[in-house]
Amino acid sequence: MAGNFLWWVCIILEATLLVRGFSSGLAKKYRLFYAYIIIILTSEVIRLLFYLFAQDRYRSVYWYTELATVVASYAVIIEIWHQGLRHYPVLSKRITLLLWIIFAITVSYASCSLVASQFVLLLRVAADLGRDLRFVEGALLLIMLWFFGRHRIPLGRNLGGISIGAAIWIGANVINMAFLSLPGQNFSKFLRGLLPIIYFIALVIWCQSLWMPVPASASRFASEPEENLALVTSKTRGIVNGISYRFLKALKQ
Amino acid sequence: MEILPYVLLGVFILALGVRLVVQIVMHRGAEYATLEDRLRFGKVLNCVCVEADIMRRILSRDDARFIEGMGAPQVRKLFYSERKKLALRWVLRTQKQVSYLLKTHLMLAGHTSKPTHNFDFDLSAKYLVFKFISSVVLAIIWLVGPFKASIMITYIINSAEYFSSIFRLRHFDVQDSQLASRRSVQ
Repeated sequence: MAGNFLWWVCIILEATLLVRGFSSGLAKKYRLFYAYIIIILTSEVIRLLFYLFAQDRYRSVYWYTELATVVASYAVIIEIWHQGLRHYPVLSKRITLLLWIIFAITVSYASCSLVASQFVLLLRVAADLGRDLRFVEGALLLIMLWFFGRHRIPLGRNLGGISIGAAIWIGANVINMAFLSLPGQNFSKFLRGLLPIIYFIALVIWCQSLWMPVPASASRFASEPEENLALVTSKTRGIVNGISYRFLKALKQ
Repeated sequence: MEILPYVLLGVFILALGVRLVVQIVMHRGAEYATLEDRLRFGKVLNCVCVEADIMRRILSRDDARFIEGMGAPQVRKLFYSERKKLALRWVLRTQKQVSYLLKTHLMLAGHTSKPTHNFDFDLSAKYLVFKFISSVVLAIIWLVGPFKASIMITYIINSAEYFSSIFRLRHFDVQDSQLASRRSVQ
């Protein structure tokens, strides 16, 4: 009952995130992230429909939709790297290219397994690819968080929120995937139960940080000299007015 | 044991995620470089260069040779003691200055127009080597004095100059207009 309630709440939060994203214009800026949310929302609705009306096919649908969401979340990692390094176009281009190469290698590796099994174990290959991609994503996210933290790259509230939510969600997923190989353990069961709550927390962080567009600190820094100039101008005008007033007063006397 | 690397990966991601939260929420921009940081960075850079040059002269063997030939035993003792204290203080100060410069160098990386392709990995590695060797040099100076450790002193001077030259490039790359004053960040 509580699980179903959380499921519905997450769907509502995803829809809210999308509505806010499109109305505030953030969906244009973070296209891959909002595409990810659309894919997740679609997957959730499809899963819910199969869960309610065709439970016998739910398992296969689950793994295919899971693969789609993992591929989309890989795109989110690319988005964070790309947006975080937007002031360094050369580095950004190289890293984006590298990320696509890593993605191609991972997919090729999974495709080899599919060909080797003569397309019989399609579901298994989809699940394996989802798992491998999640681990690759985790490693890339770890490097990214370390890199941004070490070089104090200003992410801003929006991108910072996306990164924190992704870190919580992917980090928890990686640990869960690792413990999936030990299905009998209590901790594994506990983690699986905890995962929807962690996803809910990630969604709350995304909603809170993406509620409205906030410029990154770099752009605030850039406007600072103009603000200083305006302050100096007004102060100077005040001083000149004061001197003129006193001068005129002295003349009258 | 097979799952340990994956669990560690997940734990590290979560830890760095928490660190990012702390960085964004608690510091609110204080971790980013400001105009004052850049100015202080320039001042410390100049200090390191000038002090390295001065120490090269102060700790050269010429004065020691002169005192050896001319000075009374008490004067010699005083001379060696003072130069030893000076050398120890300078090495400690250089360690602190290079540490500060490296930290600010990395902070300013977010404001430079030229990206660091090698991610400053080699610089960090060289800094760790410098820190280790300079700590050893401190012990050696304390034991035998600066004149018998002249090779080590030369290494510290050369390292300080090398780091200064690297940091100076970052100092030139960063534009003042890209930084805010500390007042506006707070």
